[in-house]
Amino acid sequence: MKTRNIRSLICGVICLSFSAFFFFGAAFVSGDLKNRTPFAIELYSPQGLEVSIAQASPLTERGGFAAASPGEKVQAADGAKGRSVLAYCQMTTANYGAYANLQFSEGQYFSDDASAEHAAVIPESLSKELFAGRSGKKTLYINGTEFAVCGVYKDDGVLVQLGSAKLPVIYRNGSENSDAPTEHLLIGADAAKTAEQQVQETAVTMRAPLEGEIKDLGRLHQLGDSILLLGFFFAGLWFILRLCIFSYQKLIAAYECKEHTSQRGFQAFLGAGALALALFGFALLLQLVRIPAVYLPENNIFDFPYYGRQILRGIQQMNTDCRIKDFSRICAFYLCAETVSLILGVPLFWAGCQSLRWGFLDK
Amino acid sequence: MKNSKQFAVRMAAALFIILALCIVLAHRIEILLLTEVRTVTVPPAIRMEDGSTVVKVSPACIFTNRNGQPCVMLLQRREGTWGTELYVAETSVQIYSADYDFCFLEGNLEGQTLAIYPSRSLSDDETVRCVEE
Repeated sequence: MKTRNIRSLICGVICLSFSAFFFFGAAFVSGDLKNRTPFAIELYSPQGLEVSIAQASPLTERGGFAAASPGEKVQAADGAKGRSVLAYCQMTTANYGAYANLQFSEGQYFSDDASAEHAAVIPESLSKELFAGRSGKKTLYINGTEFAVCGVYKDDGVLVQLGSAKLPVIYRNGSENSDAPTEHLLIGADAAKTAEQQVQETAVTMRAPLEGEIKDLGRLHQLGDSILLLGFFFAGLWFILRLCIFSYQKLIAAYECKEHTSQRGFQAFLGAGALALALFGFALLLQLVRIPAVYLPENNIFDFPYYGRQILRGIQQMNTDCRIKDFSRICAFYLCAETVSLILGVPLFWAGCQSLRWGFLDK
Repeated sequence: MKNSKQFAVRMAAALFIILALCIVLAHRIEILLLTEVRTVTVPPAIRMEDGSTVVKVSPACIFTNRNGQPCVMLLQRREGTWGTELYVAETSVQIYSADYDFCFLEGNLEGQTLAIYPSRSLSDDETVRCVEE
C-alpha cells in the first residue's frame, strides 16, 4: 500500500472519530435538554395569572400541572454563623420539583404534608456556601423567617444556571392563606394535543381564564430530536451521492462500451441497480426528516427567510433579560449547541468517508 | 460532432439521476407540507331527556363553513397517486347544546373520526397528515 493511501486512511479515521465525537455531543445535548427542562407547556405572565398559588395547589394532581409564584430577591441566612447570601425565592406547589426536572443530591422536594410548616429546597451552591461541613437538619432564614431545608438540588454546570440570573434559586412552599399570584404554570405535555388545547383544559379545571405567553417546551424537546435526525440525514447523503456517481459512471461506461455486448449489459445492469438502490436509500433516508408542522413555513418549504426569522428569534431569546428559571432560554442554548455540533460533525463525516475511499482506492 | 454527442448523453444521464432524486424529495416535501391534524373518535351517542340522540365532542371539533354554519371535518381515506391518503370531508352539523367543556351534536356521527386542532385552517376535500401517523 502506498504512503499516500495510508495517509488518507489515517486522515479518514481521524475525521470520522471527530465526527463521531460531535454526533455523540449532539445526542448528549439533546438528551440533557430533556433532563434539564420539563416536558411541559409553560404558561407565563409577568403580571401574574388570575389565580393564586393557594387556589392552584389543590387542583394540581387532577389538572396535571405545577405552579410557581413570581420570584423575589431575598436574604438567605444560615442563622448559626450569621452568613447571609442574596438569592431568589419562589413559592411553588408541592409537585413543582417533579415538573421542573430538579435532580436532588440530598433530600427531596417538599410534600403536601409539609404545607403546615415552612419548608424550602435550596441549590447545591447555596448549601455549600451556607452549610459547608455541617450535617443533620438544616435551617434556613429567608428574610428572617425560619424554613426547614428538606432538599438540596443540583445546580452545577454552566447550562443549568442559564436563566437564573447568576443568583441561587430557593423554592419554598406556600401557606393555605397565601394570596401570592401564579407567575407561571407547567402543564404536563401530551404529544397528541396542542399547547392551546391543554391550556384550555387547565383553564376549565381551574375555572379561571388563563391568559399569558404559551411556551411549548415539549415541542422543543421534539425539535431537539428532529435536529439530531436531520444531522444523520445529511451525513447519510454522502452514501447516496456516491451511489449516484457510481451509477452515472456505469451507465456512461455502458453507453461508450462498443466491444462486447455482455460486458455492456453488465455495466448497464450495475448502473441501473445502483441508481435504484440510491433512490430507495434516499427515500428511506428522507424518513429521518421529521420536522413538526409548527416549525415549518406554511406553503413553501424553501422559504429561507422564515427559517432565518426562527433562528433570529432563538438568538433573541438567548439575549433577553432572563427570568429566574427561563426554560425556553435554556432550550434555545441547548438547541443552538446541538446545531453547532452537527454543523461541525456532518462535514467531518463526509471528509472522513471521502478520505477512507481514497485510502482504499489503489491509485 | 462525436464529442458534443457524448457531452449531451452525459448531461442527459446526470439530469435523469438528478430528476429521479428530485421526485423522491418532492414526494417527501409534499407530505411535510400537508396540514397536520390530530384526530378524535366520536364516542357512542347518548339519548337526551327530550328523546333526541346526540354525540358529545370537544368544541375544538367544530369549524365554521363558508356560509357561517357549524361543521365538522370527517377524516376519510382515498387512493391517491402515491397510495392511500387521508383527507377531510366537511360535514354540516346541528349543535344541540354547547358549553365551555363540551359540545353536543345531533346526527349520526358515532364512531367517526374527526380532525381536530389542524396546524392551519382546513378546507373541504383537503389532503392532510395525522400527527399520530
